[in-house]
Amino acid sequence: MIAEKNIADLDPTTVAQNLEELQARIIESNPNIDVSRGVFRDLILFYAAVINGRTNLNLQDYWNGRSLKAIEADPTLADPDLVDDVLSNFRLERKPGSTAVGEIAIVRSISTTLTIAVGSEFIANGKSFVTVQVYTAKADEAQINSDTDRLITELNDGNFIFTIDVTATDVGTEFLITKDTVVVPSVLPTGYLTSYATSNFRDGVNEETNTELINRLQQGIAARALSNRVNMAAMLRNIDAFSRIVSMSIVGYGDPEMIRDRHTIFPLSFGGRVDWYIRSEELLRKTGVTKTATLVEKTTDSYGMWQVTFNRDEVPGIYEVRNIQQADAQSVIGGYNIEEEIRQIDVSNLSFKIDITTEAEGAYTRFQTLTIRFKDTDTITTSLALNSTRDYKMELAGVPLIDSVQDTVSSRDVRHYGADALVKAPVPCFVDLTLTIFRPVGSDDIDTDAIKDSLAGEVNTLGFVGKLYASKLSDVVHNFLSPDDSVSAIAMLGRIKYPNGSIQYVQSTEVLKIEDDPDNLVSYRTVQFFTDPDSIGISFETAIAPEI
Amino acid sequence: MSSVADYVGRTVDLTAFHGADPDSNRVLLIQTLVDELGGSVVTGIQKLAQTFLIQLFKIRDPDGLDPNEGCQFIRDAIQGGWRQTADVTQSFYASLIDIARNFSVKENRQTFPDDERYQSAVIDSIILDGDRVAVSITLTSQAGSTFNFIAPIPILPGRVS
Repeated sequence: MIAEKNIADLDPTTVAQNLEELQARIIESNPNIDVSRGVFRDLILFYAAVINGRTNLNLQDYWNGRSLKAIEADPTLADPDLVDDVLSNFRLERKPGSTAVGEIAIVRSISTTLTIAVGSEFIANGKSFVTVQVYTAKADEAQINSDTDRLITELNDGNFIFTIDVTATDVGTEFLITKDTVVVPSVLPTGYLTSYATSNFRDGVNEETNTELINRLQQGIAARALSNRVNMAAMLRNIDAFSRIVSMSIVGYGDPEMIRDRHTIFPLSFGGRVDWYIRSEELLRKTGVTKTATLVEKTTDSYGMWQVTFNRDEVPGIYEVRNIQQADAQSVIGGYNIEEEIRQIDVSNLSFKIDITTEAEGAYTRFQTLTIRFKDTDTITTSLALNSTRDYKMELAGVPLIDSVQDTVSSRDVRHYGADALVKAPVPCFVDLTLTIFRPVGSDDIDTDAIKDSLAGEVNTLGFVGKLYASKLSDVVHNFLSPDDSVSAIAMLGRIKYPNGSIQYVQSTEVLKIEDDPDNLVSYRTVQFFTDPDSIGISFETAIAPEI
Repeated sequence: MSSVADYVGRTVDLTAFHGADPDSNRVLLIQTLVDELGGSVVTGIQKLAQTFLIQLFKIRDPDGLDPNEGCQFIRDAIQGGWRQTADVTQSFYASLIDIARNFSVKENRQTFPDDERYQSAVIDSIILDGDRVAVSITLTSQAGSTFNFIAPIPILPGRVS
């Protein structure tokens, strides 16, 4: 149903312009009528200007969405329902948004049975989540009879913990809260101490925008096959599981970043290789895991180096391991430093073998393996033997779906008969933003979380462009400010993690630019900017007007 | 009785307040078309008077579609601010600030005869009677007392139905 504009959608400037036009037309034919004030002006022409304004708005909606040409000229202007109508002629439907879901842990000081009703509300960063089924937390494992019965376990500090699943109350990526975010129940249960997200929330996506829909139209019309870039994107997005891929970049024959087709003794590109960089979600996916580490070295300070290895099925598209803590650690902050990260490739036992010869070529793919060594600064190893083991919890940060996409495009029915396609998570540039907002005394509160969400959305949806401009971010912030507010320069710090393992930092208050280094697989075609609301710092400063 | 000759060289407005009489107080009929009389136009001091009343009755809304027109007089009434005659007086004179500015802006942009230019307004009397209020106002133009009352003249046939 196309929503007609109403009078509330009008702005005074439009009405004033309409009124001036009407006044000019009346005076032109009836110069003796006073249209500047009084009954004509206030009771007749003004309301005519309002009605005309509303009609013009509706007409403008129609003009903006009347054809593919008009919609493509600026998809943001067209009424979504009108766009839906136009694109239905091409059997294309807008994809709806979905609600974020995730697990939260609730810590209490007591272990008594607790029932959490359907619709119980939890708040995190101003966003609301609810339970969609009844959960009963029980301390006795023998009484756990169904999925909704949750076992209460004792922590080593004497408190008790259990987990439940919650769902966002609305669709959208802004509900994708990150691991360890505090999620507070609206009604506190007896003995309540704290509650937090046990891992990053997932599945929350926005409704497809006009721009996304128009982009998909091009792919919808295109043949779905591993051929040129449009065809390849169309093929992938036509598969439901991959239809919401945020951005992709296809590097092939003739591109300087394509080094896999130069695997001969001749310094020539022979073609037949595709590197397919895919960003499947806006936010970095952070997944909590518990792994057994092995003591591989005792250090002179009585501590030791511990090692964890992930096989290729455990870390497809994973960039790095973060927040390593002992499995029973209570704190959600901090972790052990990773001293060494060894990324290798494993292409054994594959029915279709992808041509990968170096670790850098295989980095961030589903064929990478990962070994990390870290120093546990809490465990004295004096009495431990080498190869002793211990459990640690940690967080894997990366891009999901890389393995699924690789398996799909490598399958015999789908893959190109004369080429291999290697699916990769983009080379990451992790971005931190810092800014200050200057406000007059007595200003209303600003929704900082909303600003952070919008900034993260802007950064995470830039596509493969290689440049992040501070001015675009300032523009985003200004949407939340009143006219008397000001924004400082935005400090942008980027950490590019090269496929060969090296790290490069870039920083600027104007533009974060990815310098081309195609031999190391880094360029605007391969790099994506990643940030999340937790990586954005906003401070406020009260601006006091000087006395005149 | 006025004639077309009185309107030569003047701009006119539609009559919205019918029955004005310079020599007596009477309740005006508020509508643009009147049965038996049809529509009429007005000029001179009565045009100024009805423009003043429209400004007085129009609620000023800085966030609305006509942000520079009207005043707070009726808003005060709607919000229950009139509990005694002093409240009405205070509301009226506070509103005059906005009304005077509105007149001034337009009179600086365009030339009007003196009897159509606002000078001042004062309250003669206020009667609060249950849910009714009667406010008697004296409006003075730049012409002072030297003006001719020009009665409205009809512009439509007599019977409208």
